[in-house]
Amino acid sequence: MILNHHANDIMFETGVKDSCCRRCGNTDKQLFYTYYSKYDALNVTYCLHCIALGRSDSVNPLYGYQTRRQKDNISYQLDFELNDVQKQASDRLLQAVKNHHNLLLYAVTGAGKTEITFEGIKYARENGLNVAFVSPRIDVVKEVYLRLSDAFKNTRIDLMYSGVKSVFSYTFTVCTVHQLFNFINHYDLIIIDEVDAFPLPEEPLLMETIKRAAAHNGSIILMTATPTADMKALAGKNNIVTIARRYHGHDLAIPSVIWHNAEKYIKKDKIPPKLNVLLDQIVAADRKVLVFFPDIQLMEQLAAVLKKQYKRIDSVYSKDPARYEKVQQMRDGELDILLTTTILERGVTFLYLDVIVVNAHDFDSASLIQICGRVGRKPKDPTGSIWLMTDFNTGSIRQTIKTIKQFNKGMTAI
Amino acid sequence: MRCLYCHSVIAAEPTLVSLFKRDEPLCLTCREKLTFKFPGERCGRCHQLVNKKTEVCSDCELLIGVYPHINKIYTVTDYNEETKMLMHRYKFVKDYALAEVLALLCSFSFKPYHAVVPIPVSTVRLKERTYNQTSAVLDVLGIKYAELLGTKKSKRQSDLTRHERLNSENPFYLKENVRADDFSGMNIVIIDDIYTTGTTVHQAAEIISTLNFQNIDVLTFSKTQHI
Repeated sequence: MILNHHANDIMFETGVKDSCCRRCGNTDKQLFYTYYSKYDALNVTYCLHCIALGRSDSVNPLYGYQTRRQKDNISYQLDFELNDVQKQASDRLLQAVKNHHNLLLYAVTGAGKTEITFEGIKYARENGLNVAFVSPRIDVVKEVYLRLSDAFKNTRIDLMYSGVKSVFSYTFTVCTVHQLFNFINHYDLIIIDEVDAFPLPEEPLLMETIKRAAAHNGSIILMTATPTADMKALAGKNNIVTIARRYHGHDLAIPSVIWHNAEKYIKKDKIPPKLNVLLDQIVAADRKVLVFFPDIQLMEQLAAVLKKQYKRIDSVYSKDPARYEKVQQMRDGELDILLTTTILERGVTFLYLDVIVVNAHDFDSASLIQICGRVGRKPKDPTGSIWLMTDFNTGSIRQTIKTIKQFNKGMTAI
Repeated sequence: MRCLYCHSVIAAEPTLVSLFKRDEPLCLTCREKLTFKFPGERCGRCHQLVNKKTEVCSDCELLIGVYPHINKIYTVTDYNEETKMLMHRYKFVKDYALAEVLALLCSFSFKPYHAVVPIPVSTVRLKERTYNQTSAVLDVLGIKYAELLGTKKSKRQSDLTRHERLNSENPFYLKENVRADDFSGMNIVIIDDIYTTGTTVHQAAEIISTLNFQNIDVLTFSKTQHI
């Protein structure tokens, strides 16, 4: 069913009952609020967790529609052919849809994951199955939407993320995970891109939301370059497909570690000397560079100093109002150096890119693997340099290098 | 403890002071965002941002010309992006818990006043919202208030243009039995949620002024800034 407060049919007599929100599935007592309503002359309890979608409370019903399924003969065009590995993965995904089971697609960064799903989506829509392509990240949602509508030319695809709703029929939807709150037992195929991205691992309730939105005999496809034990469990041991090669066939770049206490210099408003050498080198070679920081404050402090020495430079973080403009400038080649927090660790592709990580000891291995995956994503520029600047070695750094080397040997950690 | 505005867990290290204080359901980050005031010179009366610091701005002069009843105007915070979001959730999404947040921000002393009067909500709106957003905050604060006023208004103020608001007929009236009470020599404060053009509180003050209060002040939770 689809919950919608403009609809006429009552789906639930009340939104909250027995400390459980029937819209978002919240059962955390801390996330309910109770007050005495003079007007109703009784205590009212409502759910704080999904308040952004309108109040789900203990006195008013939840309205909605029943799910309808409709066949749609859709087709897609690709301007390149899938290679053997991708084809194999695509077949496995198709089998998962046909046989109603989950699947984990464990693929290196830049393996062409999105294209692998097309055949499964086509089959699902031809058989009247509802499809949702979701991601925790708005950037990823936007990019996937563009790629899907480019390939599936004669199909109407819904796009939903906070503030944007372009909806036709809820049969083929691209959206952020949060948008799935209003769907229960509705989507027969849910594809999750970047399953391990914030805030999915931090908010276990979101994974429950996805499971609720999925039809009882539906398939959930998890796609990631850095799977966790939970994901492997959800897919099942026999339902894991791994791709250890990028679609252009080149090796992944292996990061080099630089021992340097960068923070010491930044705190004194100085440019860390080894960073300075690297930046000069990159700019001289006419390449671009992303410099990653573990926190905004450190980044902004260094940005102020660097801006005096370099002209084509900027910094970006999640709440930055000009975030998308700056990323676009970088894409257009108007910037050489972009300082960033982990927001650009995934979902972005720049040509001729190198990467530097400042305070690499503060990053976990999933982040580092994603960051390393930013370089060499295009056949035109299949490799690049990665420098991890760190004060001391950590398990995450070792793990990252080990995993990438294994990928290059054709092995995966599973 | 959760912050009632952003719903994240408030992880505060207990200190000797906080140990004996009641936990506040509002995190520091949200408090800072909500109490953000735009920098600049202001009107000493309505707190509107002005080019040159002044005791009474031109907007106020116009209003005083028609409604000379209000003495002082107090406001808790600017109607900044975050407060706007809060008011939207509080008034239109019915997130009643935010009354607690507003109460926490409201460090106003009600002691000098003999009477506290919230701006009433029309019956249509009350049916929709099920609470008066202004008196709900007073309820949380534990302030006793008197509902002296009723309103004939049915349209939302926010649906009207500035011109329509300034030229609207006074929608307020005194409730029955109020006129019989003797208020001479007493202090009163009128409470409203948002001060935009000031029309609402000035019209309320006009009606209240017939009760012979010695002094009429106004407190609003937020002040919009039109430049």
